[in-house]
Amino acid sequence: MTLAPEVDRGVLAAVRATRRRRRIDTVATAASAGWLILLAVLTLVSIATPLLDPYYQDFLGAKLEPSLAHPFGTDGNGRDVFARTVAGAQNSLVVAVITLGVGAVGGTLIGVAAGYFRGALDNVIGFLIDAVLAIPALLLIITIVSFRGPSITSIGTTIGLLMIPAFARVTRSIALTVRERDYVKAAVLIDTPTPRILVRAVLPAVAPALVSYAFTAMTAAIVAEGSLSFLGYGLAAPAPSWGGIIAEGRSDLATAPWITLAPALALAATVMAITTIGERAKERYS
Amino acid sequence: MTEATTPADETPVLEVRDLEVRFTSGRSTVYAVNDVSFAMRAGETLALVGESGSGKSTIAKAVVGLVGPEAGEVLLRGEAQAGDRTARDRATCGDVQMVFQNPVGSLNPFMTVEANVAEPLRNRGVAKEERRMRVRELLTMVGLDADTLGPRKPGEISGGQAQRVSIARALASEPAVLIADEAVSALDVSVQATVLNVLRRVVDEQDVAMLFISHDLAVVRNVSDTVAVLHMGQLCEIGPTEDVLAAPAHHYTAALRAAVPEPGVPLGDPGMTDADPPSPRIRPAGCSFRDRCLAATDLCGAERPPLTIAGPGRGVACHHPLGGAARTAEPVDVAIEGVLA
Repeated sequence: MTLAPEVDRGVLAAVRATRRRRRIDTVATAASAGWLILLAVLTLVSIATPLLDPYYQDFLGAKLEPSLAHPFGTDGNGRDVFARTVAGAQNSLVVAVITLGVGAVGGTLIGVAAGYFRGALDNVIGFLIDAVLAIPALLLIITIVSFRGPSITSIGTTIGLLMIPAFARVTRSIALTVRERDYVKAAVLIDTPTPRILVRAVLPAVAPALVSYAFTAMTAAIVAEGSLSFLGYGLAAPAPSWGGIIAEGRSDLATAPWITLAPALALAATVMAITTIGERAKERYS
Repeated sequence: MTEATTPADETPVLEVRDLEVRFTSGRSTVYAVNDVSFAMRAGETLALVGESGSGKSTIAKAVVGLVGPEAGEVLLRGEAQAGDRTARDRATCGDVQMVFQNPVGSLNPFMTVEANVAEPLRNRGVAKEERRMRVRELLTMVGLDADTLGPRKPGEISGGQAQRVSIARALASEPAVLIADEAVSALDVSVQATVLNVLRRVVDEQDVAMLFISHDLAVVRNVSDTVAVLHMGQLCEIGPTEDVLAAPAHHYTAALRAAVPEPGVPLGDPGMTDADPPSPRIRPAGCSFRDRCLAATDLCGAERPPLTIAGPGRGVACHHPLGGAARTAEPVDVAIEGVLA
């Protein structure tokens, strides 16, 4: 069977467009993965060797322009911005991971319980979630961090607690639909214990959405930590974190923009890389 | 049912007495099942037929304890069961098992076929080795090859295969009653026969009572001994499948039968008005079929027809039954006993 030439051409164009899009996707994914791997390697290097010391001060070499010796230049105290950015990655990412752990685990437990058991439990949880969402997040974080002191764990758990409602909503809506599926009813009829139903039937159904939302939440956590540090409620100086370095460089923005630009670009690139890979994971799952 | 007429071994495996089920959401109430009674013995298949919304599936859910009845009782081997499954005796819980309409959707998609079938055994604490042997037996019983299909996921097998896996899983609990809720409706006609044969063999060999829910009279004729016709949650007619389908006593049964297409034969006149069925949100005062019935009189709107004897083993709930069936004012229980006799 032969198609009319114009149809042929249309089909070919569509095929080409799809291929081009796929190629762009592949390049973006590779670049994102490459960036995250680079970040991991640099972090390991900075932990394992004294080559990148974020605290070493050279007062004679303050605000030096980027050069071979200092790829990202130096800050107002003569510290190497590259070393500080790499060390900041470590702190920022650890905070993000703690945030994600608290938010995802807490949110999933609460959301799945509310969606599966419904009834009074669901109502109480729904009310609590609304209550948490009604409190201005920044105010709450600043208050808690002021009381508990600005450590990686206190910042991570506090932002994590505030992420619980979002995770709970995502998982609750899925648990609500899954409990009506025949395979869950069948599991009830064959006397499967409820914890086992939750683990073997409900959780696997929740997982894909959970994973794809986790990537979004991870980027939000990185940005949130950055904002907090920028406001002065992040890690205490001189400990480096991306938001903190950006804040330190603010006063020298006119004379030494690299102090702010390097961590800002690293933050933006990391958020983009995680988002890109998250999109890929979502496609793979659905 | 009295002791005198029913020897001990004749006690029905499953008996449903005066069952009423309602669903309330906000201010509106749906009267899903109204005063339905029937009984089943081991090795017997009872078909529940009726259009969508007639209450067939709700009866099934009440029997397994997924919905609680407003009134009436579900008895297993003569023992009344709690309306809520969780309140039932765990030992008798597995006695009623169900095969669902959606073949693939009723199997856990995250577990292999083997693991799905093994799940009831696992829940009863059967050891791993024995579990594996039983699963193999069960899969063979429903005509599936355990070696090729066992390690697959439900998404990787066909609808007919999935439905047979579902049957195997239900049998793993060694049920006394098997409910097949539209179990073949979602399957190709060519596959339906295979699954129906498996179900029939199970009823014969395992001596279970099967409650077969369907809207397809052709399938019902093929599989059931007794048929119960439901309309808007009310029992219209009950009796031996052959007799009821050959000479319906209820106008609704006649309409259902006329609607069964047969190759090369033009569809008959359904003998029904075009009226919509009455709203299930209003508790029916008289006969629920009266608005659609050509033979309806004032009596049908005023008084609900009781289930009365309409021939050997047959009961009909109609003020003006077809075929001039003699109407006697017999109580409902006697009619059911007639069905069992």
